[in-house]
Amino acid sequence: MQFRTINITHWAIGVLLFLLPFYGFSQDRGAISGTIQKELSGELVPYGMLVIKEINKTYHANEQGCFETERIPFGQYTIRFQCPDFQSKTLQITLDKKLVTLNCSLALENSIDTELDEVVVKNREESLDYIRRLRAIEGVMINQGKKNEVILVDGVNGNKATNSGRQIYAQIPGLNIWESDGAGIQLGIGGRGLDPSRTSNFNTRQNGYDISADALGYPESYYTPPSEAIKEIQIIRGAASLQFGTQFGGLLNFVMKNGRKGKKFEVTARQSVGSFGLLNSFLSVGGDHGRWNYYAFYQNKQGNDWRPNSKFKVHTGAFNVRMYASEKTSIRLEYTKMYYRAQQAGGLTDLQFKLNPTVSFRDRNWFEVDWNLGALHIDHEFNSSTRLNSRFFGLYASRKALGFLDQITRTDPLEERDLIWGDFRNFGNETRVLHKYKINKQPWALLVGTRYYQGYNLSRQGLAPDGDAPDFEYLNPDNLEGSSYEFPSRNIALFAENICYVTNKFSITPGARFEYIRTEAKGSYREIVNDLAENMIFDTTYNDNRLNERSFLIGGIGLNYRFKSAFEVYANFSQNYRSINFTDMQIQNANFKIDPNLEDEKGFNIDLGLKGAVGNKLCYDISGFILSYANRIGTTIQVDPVWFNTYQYRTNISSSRTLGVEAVIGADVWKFVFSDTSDITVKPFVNASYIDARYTDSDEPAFLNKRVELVPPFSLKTGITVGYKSFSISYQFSYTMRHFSDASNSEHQANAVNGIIPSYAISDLSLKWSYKFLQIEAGVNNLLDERYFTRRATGYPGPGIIPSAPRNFYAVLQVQL
Amino acid sequence: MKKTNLSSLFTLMLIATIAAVVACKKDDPKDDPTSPDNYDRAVMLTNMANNYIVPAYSQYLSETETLNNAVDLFSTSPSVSGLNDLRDQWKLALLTWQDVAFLEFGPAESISLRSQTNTYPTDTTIISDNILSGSYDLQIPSNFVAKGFQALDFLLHKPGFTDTQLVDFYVNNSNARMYLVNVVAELKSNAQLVHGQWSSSYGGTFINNNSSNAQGSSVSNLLNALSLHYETYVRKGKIGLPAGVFNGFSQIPLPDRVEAFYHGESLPFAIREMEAINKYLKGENYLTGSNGEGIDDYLIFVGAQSGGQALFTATDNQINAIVTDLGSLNDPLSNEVTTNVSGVATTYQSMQFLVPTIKVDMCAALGVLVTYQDSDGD
Repeated sequence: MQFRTINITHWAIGVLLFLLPFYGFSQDRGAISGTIQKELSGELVPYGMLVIKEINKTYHANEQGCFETERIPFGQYTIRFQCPDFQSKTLQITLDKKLVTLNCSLALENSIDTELDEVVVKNREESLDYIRRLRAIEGVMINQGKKNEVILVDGVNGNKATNSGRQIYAQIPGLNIWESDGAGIQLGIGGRGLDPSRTSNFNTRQNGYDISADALGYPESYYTPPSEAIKEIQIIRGAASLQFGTQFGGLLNFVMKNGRKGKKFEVTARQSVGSFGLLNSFLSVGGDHGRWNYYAFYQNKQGNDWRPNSKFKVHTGAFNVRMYASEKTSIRLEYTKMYYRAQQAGGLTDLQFKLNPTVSFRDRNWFEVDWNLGALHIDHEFNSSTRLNSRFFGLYASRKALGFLDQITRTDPLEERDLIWGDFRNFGNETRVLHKYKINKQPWALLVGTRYYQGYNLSRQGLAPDGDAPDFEYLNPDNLEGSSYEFPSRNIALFAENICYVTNKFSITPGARFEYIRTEAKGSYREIVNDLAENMIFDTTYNDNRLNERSFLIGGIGLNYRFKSAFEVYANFSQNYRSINFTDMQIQNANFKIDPNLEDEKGFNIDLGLKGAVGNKLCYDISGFILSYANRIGTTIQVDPVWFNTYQYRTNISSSRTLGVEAVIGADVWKFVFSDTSDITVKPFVNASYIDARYTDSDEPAFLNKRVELVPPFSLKTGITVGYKSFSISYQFSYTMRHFSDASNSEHQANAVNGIIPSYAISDLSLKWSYKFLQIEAGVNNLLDERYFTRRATGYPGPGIIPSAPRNFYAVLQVQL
Repeated sequence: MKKTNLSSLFTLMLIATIAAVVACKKDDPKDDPTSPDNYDRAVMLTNMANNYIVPAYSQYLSETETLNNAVDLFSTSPSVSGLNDLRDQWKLALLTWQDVAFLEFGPAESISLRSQTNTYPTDTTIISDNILSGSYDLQIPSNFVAKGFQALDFLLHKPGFTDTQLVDFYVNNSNARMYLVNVVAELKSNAQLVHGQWSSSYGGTFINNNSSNAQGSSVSNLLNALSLHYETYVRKGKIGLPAGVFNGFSQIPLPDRVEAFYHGESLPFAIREMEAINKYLKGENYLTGSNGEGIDDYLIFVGAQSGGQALFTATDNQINAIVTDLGSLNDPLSNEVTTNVSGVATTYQSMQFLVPTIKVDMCAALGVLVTYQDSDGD
């Protein structure tokens, strides 16, 4: 009942405010916001509760320890803060403006523990409003001594309807961002000179669990959470390998929004329109009530994109519900679904791109993805120093690519099309226990975890109907013209990391991870031999079974020295690996062999950097890194010593090393010069990286001493946001330097599959204005209408040059009640 | 104290890392004098383009023009002597085609010249249907098997026809006469197109595309085109397929897959091709045979070895051995593949021997990536 009353009140207020925008400025109400912290250490305490006695209302802090009340009448209030394991506290406050800040420090109930954590995380929420750094310990993650970034998505001023990677990841140094479609359906980012293709060099997760097709064997992300539903994006570079496992790029974790504390019901509706028929409708509901917290959204995105033959329709929806089973135990259930179908306009040759990038030479290529993710999280706090998190997760998904995939220089013969179909079914569990303890009066923390992952992937290739309709079906499902493989896989990992404080400023964080991986390939491939006029003279099907079982240990160490909050030095060394992929295990034709001793790709990352923050005014991170990448898997040609036949041989062929310097600095200049509390903000930022990546060794002579492909030697993003109260305008300039797209360093190839990716410089402009429950966002991407491309495709969605969008506009209206 | 030490340690490490990054920027291994990148590729490419490729295309164009005249003459007044002139000129043009067949990159690749010119076995059903209907588009890929030299082979040597009967056939069938004319005219116009591009813009493009041997560079293009052509269209197409090497587990010969099946003479074309490849690799002048800078010189420059001798010596010897082996066989090859199985097998093995020489040894010595895939299990 009360739920309903509040809801109606909200609506009534909303309608009133909407009708009377000039008078609705309620001068006599305000909200109280702030944080609940641990006394002495300043560590933020999640899920604390506060009761405002005068109005008898209860509010909760979120998992970051921040709270905000609804607007209540001005006046004197008595507020009682309480939290399990802490002594409760009562504070008085005068509410006389729109927003009053109140920070409360609570002392631990158990006096023995009082000093625990004193120094471990003497880190308040020091950040600008669009980026922060992970705290030394966050939840059940240890981040001490690791290079990391966290993007606060609500603070990003950019085109969220198209998941504009350039804008959302503007603060992340050294990223190469691929634009494969104008709507940002698939995210393609790569850090430190690693291939951006479907973000497959990051260990990509959502709320801590895997979302790629198969974490080890097929690490491509076909699903990317809509930016509108993301709270923050956490990136931990190479050193993430110890806690998260595979990939050299590190961890990319999308933390989704949940119900706002203190609000039983909140609805957010966003409608975006954009160039080329872009329509994006987003609706979310969320709330927090007693033991329950819930959040759900649905997004429908469609458009025609800017080239012919590229219409798309995307549906994405998800919900998560959390319940506190007791004061110490919470359970969260999540489900995510995405479905999309998009037509693929194909690639272009260099000449076609130069003459007119708006054309398309493929009108019957399609892509369809269906992604279902489920997860169950159990969090339990044994006591104030020991907590456990266990997450069960599963994926049920498919991706289907249909079309004529031959080189773009060939005319589509309008015959049967290829259909490549992947089904993915996998599940796993990751359980972590974090325990804080003391050695020599210094607070230490130990994290131990286990992971079990079981995957199943069915991968098929064959002919599909001719014509141009999206007919995702095989002509001969029982006798495919290509191949049919299943890839059962299993992975068990054990990991541990420990923060050791040598002094109260200097910490050493060693860690280790044990992996057991079993990858199996079972299937068949068809061999069809034709004469020179394409008449079939031989047709047979071969069966192929392959098993690769291995286990290994990787280790690493992180060092951190904190001079003061504004200046911290970190260094780390971590071994990395990238598992053998399924395609590496698959024989494609009879003239192909696979090294029976094929190994995972292995190497290490070394970081050395300075970072720091000054209140909400300055945030910086400057670092150098070395990425050593050995055992790169590739194909060479070998000769049979008896018959002198040549065959393709897949084995570990190359090593490379990447060196780089990355720097990102953001500041609120106005706050520096004038006042910390001014309504005006002037926030410039600079994000630059210099990367040099080379092959140092290769069995393929064509790669020797060549530059590693897809590594822009220099990239720069810079911009400025100027705001007044709730209005802000941002300009961003992004520059990516000319680089190669293949390991032989091809400058130009007739079919455009390989070649130079020329330098490009793009400007973006965005505006945001919010007023009460309304928010308006608008902007122009590629303001100067630069003709450019970020990638060349070897297969889908090309092959050939995939041109990026010309100047385009967007506008969003958001209503939040 | 400790604090200062630590901080200076960190600062030092940071400086060291940045210094390492900057220092490593310049480590191009161009110091090695025999590195493929230190060879003057422009000289070789200029010689190959100006003294082999362009004159060879020019010769090929001229042969197709002569063929075109012959077919026009025959079509206006069909006669047995006209038919024989036409056959002779067809053979000359097909022999000259072997000199340029392996240049399937650049202009030739852009129009799939090889498939348009010399696809076999030709599809006699489609040819007959096209003639019957009198309406066809020779440019569509499904007609590639019904045109070019091999369609002419069928049309000029129709089995079961005496010369007089064949002349009568053309006298009485204007569609067939027209088809002959159209097929030849297309051979000529394709030759014009490719020759025209080489002698105008593409020649310069080819010579200037010399900054590396990466994918898409001229050296990579020419070696990949040569290797693919030799492996698939010479070794496999001219001998392997008819010999039954690719015929699954049975290995039963397929006599009708020989080149110029109806003409009944295949070996001269194969021999001509092998000789042309050698000439091209050696950088010889197409018309005079005088030696210029070629792949052989490039291989000598990088010091490429194979089995204790210079790689190009090995290549040259092997090409000569293949020519000898081909010469020891007898035409019609379609007969030889069933009657002299061991002789054909020996020749095929000799041809197979050259595949890794080009595809692995030469490409590796020059740092060229093999960019095509041979999917046949052979």
